[in-house]
Amino acid sequence: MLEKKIKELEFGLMSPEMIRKMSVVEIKTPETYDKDGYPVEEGLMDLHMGVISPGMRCKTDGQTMKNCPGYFGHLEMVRPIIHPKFSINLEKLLMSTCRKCGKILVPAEKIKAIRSKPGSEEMAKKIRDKAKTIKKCPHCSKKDEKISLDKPTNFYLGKERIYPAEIREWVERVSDEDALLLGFKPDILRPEWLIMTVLPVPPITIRPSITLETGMKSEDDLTHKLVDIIRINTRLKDNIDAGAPQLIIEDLWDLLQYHVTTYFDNQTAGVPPAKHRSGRALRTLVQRLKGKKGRFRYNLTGKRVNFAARSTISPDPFISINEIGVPQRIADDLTVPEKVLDWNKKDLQKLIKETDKAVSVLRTDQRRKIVTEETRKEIAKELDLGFIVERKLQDGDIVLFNRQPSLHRLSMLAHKVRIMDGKTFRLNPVVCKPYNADFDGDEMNMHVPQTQEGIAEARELMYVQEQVISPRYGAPVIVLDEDGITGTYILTMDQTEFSEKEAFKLFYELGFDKFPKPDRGKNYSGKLIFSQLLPKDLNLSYKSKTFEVLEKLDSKEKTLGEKSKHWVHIKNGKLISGTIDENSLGEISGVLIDTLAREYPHDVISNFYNKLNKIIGWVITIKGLTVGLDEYEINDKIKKLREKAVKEELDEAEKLVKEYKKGSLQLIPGRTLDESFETKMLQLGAKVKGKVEKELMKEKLESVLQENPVLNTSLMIIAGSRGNATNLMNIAGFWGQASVRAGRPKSGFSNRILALSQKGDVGATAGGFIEQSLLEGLKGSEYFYHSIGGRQGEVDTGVSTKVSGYLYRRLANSLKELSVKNDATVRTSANKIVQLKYGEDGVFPMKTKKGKAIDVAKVFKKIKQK
Amino acid sequence: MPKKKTVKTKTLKKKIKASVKKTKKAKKTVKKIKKAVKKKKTVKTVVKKEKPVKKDWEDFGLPKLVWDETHSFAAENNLSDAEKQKLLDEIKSMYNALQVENGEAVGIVAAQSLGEPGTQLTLRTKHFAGAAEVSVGSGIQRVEEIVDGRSKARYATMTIYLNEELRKDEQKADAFAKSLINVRAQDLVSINEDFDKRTVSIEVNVKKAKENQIEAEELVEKLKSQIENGKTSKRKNVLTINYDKKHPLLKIRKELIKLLKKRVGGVAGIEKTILFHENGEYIIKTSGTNLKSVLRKKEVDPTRTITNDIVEISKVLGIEASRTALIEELNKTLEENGILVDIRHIILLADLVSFSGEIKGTVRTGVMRAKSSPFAKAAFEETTKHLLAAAFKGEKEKLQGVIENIIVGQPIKLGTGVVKLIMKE
Repeated sequence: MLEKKIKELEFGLMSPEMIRKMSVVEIKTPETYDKDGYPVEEGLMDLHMGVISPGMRCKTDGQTMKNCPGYFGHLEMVRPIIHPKFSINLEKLLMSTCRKCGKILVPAEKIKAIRSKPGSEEMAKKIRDKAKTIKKCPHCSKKDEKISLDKPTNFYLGKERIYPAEIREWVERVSDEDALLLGFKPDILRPEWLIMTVLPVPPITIRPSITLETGMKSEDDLTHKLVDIIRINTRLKDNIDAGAPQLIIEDLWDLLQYHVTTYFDNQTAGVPPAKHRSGRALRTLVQRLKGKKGRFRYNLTGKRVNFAARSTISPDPFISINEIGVPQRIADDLTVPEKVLDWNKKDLQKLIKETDKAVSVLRTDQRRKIVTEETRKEIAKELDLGFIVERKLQDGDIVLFNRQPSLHRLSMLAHKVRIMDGKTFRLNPVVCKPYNADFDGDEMNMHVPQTQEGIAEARELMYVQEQVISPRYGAPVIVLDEDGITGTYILTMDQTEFSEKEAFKLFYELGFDKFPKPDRGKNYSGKLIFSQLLPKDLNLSYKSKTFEVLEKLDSKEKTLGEKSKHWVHIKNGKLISGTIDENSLGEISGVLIDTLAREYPHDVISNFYNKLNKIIGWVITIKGLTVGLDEYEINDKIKKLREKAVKEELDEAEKLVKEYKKGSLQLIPGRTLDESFETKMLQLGAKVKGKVEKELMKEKLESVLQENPVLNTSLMIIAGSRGNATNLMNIAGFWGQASVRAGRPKSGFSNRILALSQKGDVGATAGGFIEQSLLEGLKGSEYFYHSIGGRQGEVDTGVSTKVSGYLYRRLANSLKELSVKNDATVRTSANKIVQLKYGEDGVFPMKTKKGKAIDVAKVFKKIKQK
Repeated sequence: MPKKKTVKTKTLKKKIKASVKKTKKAKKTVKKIKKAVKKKKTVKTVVKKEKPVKKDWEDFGLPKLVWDETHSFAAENNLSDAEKQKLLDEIKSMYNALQVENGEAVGIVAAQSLGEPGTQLTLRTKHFAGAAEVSVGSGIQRVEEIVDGRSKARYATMTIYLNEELRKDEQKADAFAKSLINVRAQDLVSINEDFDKRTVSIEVNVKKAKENQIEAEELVEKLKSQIENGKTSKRKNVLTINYDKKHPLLKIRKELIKLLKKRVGGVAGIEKTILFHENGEYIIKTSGTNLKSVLRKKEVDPTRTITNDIVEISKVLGIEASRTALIEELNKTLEENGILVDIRHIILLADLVSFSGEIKGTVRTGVMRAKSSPFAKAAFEETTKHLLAAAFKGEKEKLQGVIENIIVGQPIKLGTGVVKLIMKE
């Protein structure tokens, strides 16, 4: 096949001659169809301009609807009309030329003195500025008033209206050399072209009429507008021929100008938009191109594709992370082309003959044969090398999977097809993070690559396991979350044991045929089972999340360091101590995942995830994970602390209020007294809450770390899988200060938020401090404060998704073109160098560890081991 | 008619003179600053002159940071030369393996890395129903501000470091901090207007003046010299102006207002200053910024004093300084919001925004306008404007970029698009 490639496009305006030459028919009548519904000749639907109804043939090229591209016609305008979109350029030209002789008002020697490039905007502006001060033409001594433009199209000479015909004559006198000096390029644009004497009529194919169910024909907006133009044009002609008074002619002329103006842009400032009979504004040329729904952003940069499917998603931890469960019905609708070659000829023949998986065959002579029950055998027989078989999607095909909004490149990954029952796409919960997907009704799209090149690229570059490390920060993004981490935490806790029966259930899920020996009498420890998933040469040592929490709470464990039982030690693929939690598996912080993804072949990480996923569900089922109100009930010690904290808050707040009223409060830089006071009140709330929160966390940590802990939500907080201390505090402790837009709630009644407080009261209680916890229930007033904060949260999400969406669009549009060239520089598409070496060290962030390219100590260790 | 004109030209001449003076002054200060900068630079240039040969690390093919780290590691662990060489070789081979691949679309990755967390951040606040501790809203606005290259930061602030003398002396530092605040005449005086006699008396509040490091009598002198019409008489801290009976009242009021708006002390643009004690020295933080004037003061340490207004930095210290400031500001803002973004993405953005020699934001008037492709511009914003301009100028679309090729339906020249693959039939 001939490969067409566009190398360059040139923009410009069309000359009247060109428009006439290009035209296939001159439109003379505003009628469209005759009584029989047949296009009127020399009308707007003339068959020379293309066909839109099946069965008819174009009078220009004789083609049918499918093959005829459509052709331009033209309309001779009785009187010239100013091009509404270029009237400003025209004004600039008129300002610097003489009406009588068409020469530049500035004397030639003065122009010579200007040091700018002829044809540049700069030059034109300098001449214009000089011309403004000149009242008399130096060439023909003509004195004239200044020209002015009443936007969009009316020109005035002084106070006198000057009509397009006269302007056209004027600019025709401007010589090519002068035009060039004034910023026009005469070889591509003569100034008089901006005053139109002939209007191109676009092909019917871009303004098709629609036949409604009632049989009525409905015309396109552009056709409507063209009808208006032709109608007025004819009437103007008749009037001129009849010798109508000047006034009437001028009125019609203006009306014609109006129609042309709105034909170009129906949102021109200062011109009432042309309306449809129903009152809807017409969508004319500019509206077709502009904005989000315009041609550029909607159709040209966003293209619709074939070979795609969309459905609701649901989770399936038993399929691999790089697999996608595809419903049978979708798989049967989508096809993959497969070329017949030596090695697959027999398989394809069998496929055609014995199954219904083949859809059609494209022969080398470009003829396509549909495989049916009857033709099956025959087609299989004549199958030859070079034929292309379109077959239905089957297990093992590579597809792209995507969830919108596609904010980063991990929003589109390659998966392997696995055809399943049901109607939803199934995906492993591990890939939820990069897609930002959940299963509350999310839908996702699937695309099937159609070329070998596409398939290969998808498999080599976009496979899930290739993308575990994020290019944003060089740490894992494809990670377990929620139950995944909780389950692993339970599995690897010190006291977790499984009876032989339970353990074998897990081994069965893992697909083991050799079993480790039980290490705790007859029972298997959770750590032992977990160790089975690790590569045998893995050695790691790092802080667990539990250890970090202990560290924060100033526990004794801190001093133990590496010797603590909460410090994770993995030796030769065996988990010796520590619990596997967020610091092993989590996003960014997961050391274990980081190591597996980086230092082993990519199938190691996918294997690890697959196996872990298969047993986590069982672990949680066997051991249980619960939630109950009793776990949020607090003991007397904390109760007292809480009361003290609340009292402290109220007392301190009172002090602050006093200082504030006196004006002796210490200010925060860049803030006024009011702002400082608000900030301090807010900080006070946070401080007091923090104290209680810390104690509460300590309490919960102890309960998790004891001999036989209840497996409940506090465990999730410790493991780092879901929730945090603040959530716990809000339920069990007290809510604290309600906040609206990073401050205390302000508006409401005058000088107070609720009618419950005194006017002008700025104290804690009146400012939205909530003393109760969610468990106890809030007081009436507190409920309102809380709701104010809650509502602001909702509003903010709405607002800042918009803000950040726009920010992202701008960033993407600005940075899009930058890429690394083969000399390691970063350049724009215009080949301008932006960086001599990418990122100053040439290292791609995805290959770094949180930005650090090389860990010298680690390299040294590695050398020594050799 | 002619009378008025002469008045106008007079004032104009004055203005011109004043502006000439100003520019001269400005030039001087720029020179001063340049000198200050040069002092530092000369050291560098000397080093450069001494070593026209490539530096060790450049020669070896490692970034300076890694080179230095390796050497200090070797020194710490007492490695033998052979061991060190082995280590260096290993590191170099590893470093080479980490290099970006040809054609990598680093621009779009950077844009995604900066843009994606923006929405994540937004969504995250939702779950906390607005408790005081985790509100993060303002972060996006600041990022937008930096990235757009806007000339006016919403919370413009300067961090002023002091010279050795003032940095330990709280009193002096405080006095200096107060003297920086922009004071207008109206802040220090009380006015008594007598329209019948056409006299205006201006009384300077001595206490207030002192607070702002201004001598009351000096101020009166200063104000006196500003008055053009009317007789003036000065008595201690009171200035009395007697106007002609013919002088219209409206004019008197207008002149008075103009007089009271005059800056009498401090630095223009600096609204507030606060003294801080940080790392064993006193520093001043301001609200409002005026880098040029502050750097001119001998009390400050010009090598460390900085503002958060990136465009201002580019005007005062040049494009390299503002590039660095942009990287630091953006990195800081993202860090404060708990967003992890690799520094290389930020550097790339900063380089794109500044490589033309001035800060061009990622907006339609900045980086986007500088693009040569009409399609790329039309697909972003102001579609018709760009198409019309392209037609008028007869521009050419060379289809080099990403969007342009997408528009015409051709493969783009990024990533795997830079190489051609021919399959054997």
